[in-house]
Amino acid sequence: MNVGDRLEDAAAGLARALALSRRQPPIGPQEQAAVAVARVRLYQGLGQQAALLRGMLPGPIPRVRDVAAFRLPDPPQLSMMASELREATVRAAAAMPHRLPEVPASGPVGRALTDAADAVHAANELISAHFGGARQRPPTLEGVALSAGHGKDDNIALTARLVGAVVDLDVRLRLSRWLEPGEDAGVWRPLLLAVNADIRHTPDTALGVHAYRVALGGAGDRAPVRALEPVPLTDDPARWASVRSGREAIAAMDAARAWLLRHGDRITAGQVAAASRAALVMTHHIGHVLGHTTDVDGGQLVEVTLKVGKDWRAATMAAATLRSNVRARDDHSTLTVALGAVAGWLHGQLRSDGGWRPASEWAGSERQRAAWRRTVGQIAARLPDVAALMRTGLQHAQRSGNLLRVGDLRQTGRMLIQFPQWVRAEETHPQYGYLRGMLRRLGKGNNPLAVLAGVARPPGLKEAATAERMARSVPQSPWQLAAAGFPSPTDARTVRAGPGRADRPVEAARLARYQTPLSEPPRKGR
Amino acid sequence: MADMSSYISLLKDAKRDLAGDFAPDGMLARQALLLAERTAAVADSCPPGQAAGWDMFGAYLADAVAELEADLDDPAVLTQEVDPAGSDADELREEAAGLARWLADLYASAAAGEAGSGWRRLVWAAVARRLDDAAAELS
Repeated sequence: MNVGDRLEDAAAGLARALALSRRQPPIGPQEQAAVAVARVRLYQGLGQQAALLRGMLPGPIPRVRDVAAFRLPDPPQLSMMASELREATVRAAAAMPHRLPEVPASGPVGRALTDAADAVHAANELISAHFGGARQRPPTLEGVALSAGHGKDDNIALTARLVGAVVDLDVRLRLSRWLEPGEDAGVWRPLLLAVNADIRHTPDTALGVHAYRVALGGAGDRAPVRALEPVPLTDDPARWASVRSGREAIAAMDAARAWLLRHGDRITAGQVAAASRAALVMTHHIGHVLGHTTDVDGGQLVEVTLKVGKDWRAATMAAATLRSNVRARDDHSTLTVALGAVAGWLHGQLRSDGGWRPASEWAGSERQRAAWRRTVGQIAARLPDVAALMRTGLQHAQRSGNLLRVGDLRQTGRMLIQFPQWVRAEETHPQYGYLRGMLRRLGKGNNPLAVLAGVARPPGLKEAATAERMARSVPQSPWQLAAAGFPSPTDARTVRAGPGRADRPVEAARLARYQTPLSEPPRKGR
Repeated sequence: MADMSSYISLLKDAKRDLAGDFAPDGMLARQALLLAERTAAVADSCPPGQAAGWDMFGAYLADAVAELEADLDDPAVLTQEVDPAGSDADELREEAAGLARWLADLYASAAAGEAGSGWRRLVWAAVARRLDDAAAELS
């Protein structure tokens, strides 16, 4: 389940709790206690989520002074919402400073609200894992982009909608005195008294208004945070040796991307060749699937497939002329294993005995066609990241002397094979330059096949740089200040995509710092 | 240096040379594998409908070469002077598929035989499987 699924579960739980609490009194003090604890957990979870999505590192819920120290300026209503989220549970926190009591989820309202709180915390865990924590770099490209603020307004709009729903529930619980402890409250009395006091305090704050304005400031339905899946494991290549479904294929692609982001400095020429070969095989399969699942003109599709394939083939052949200092038997990684498994899975599904299987066998219904279109589109949209990150890794390998070219050749009589001596490849070596150029081309923009499938390239380094650049420039002008103070979806989008901003070329140096130790050694003369 | 006037004749020669004395890790076998792998470069210039088959043929051959050479100390390369471009497409396809099938049979026989260590024979069996897959892509 991804973050979007979790947040939808939270929304569904809140909706159930709101609806059921209309007429249904608490079954007993245990349900009251379950609702009280779930309410506190919900506010805490939403506070953490807002902090994460604003770019604050995982940790305690932010206080007002922390908000002021935050590196990017937030619109005032967002800062206010964040600090008031903490206020919403301050009495409960004071009454139970160490930990909340453990209450089994009981009663329909109690269960619904507990489900919602669990879902919010599960979403937070997923987001935190992508963001990497206080002392770690984000382990995924999506984490890099989102933690830098990519799609921040849209992401936080989702959180704000949930905050608004909890505020609504507070109003209902207060008016119906739902949480007031009765004679039989027993051990739950201190908890219920504290939470009741918090609920009575909520109308004194403007949390609901601020949440409403934050929710209007973005479009939650296109929030990039929704697409975050569990962070793929990259340390064990064998984990990716087998792919059995489209979902696993996309996860394997993400594992390859994450491995390149974290360990791209370990890449070898052999791995670039193997990964490019897998990408070439994938490209043929993706083109074939789109031919049977979209209305794209056949001629155009063939042309695009061959063009992309030609570039991957060229990369494969150029990489095959190079070597690295690693034994052939050890020359594999999560990158090569995962991409090889995806290519193998596509091949197993779509080809048989050297030909394409009839489309009726794998795409007989509209539902199957849509699933295939989505799957291959997602695979295609991830290939540019693979190319771009391989290029960066390859440059590191060349600078550190781990890229070799053919030196002297030992001829073997009239044979066509030769045994070369491998020497360090210079920066000016033609095959290295050609390979770099090919990977640059393949890593630029979105894959044309993904475009035909209607799938966008996932956010990554470029979005991170753009988000940071935009954040530095806000607020910049009176109209931007006005837009920040009185947000509307239109204003928010205008600020983000102001003229001439998003189109600027990405600075390589700014991108490089997001990547694991790919920082190039200082060069003389600089 | 061999006669490089025709790539197709090189494929035929490779097949004929192997018929006499086949050593799975020997020079002639490795040359034949590399020659077959290089044939896939024709995907750049072949009719659009054949590119997928050639690329997959090349991918399987590359796997076969990698499998065979993983434990060998002296990885070999094929001279840059041989190039399949300009060959008759149909004949090239037939010869490449034929060579792959022929090699697959030889490696499979070696794997089933008594010569070489058990581990090495396991490698030859894997090479034979890749070659079978490669030949199927062009059939």
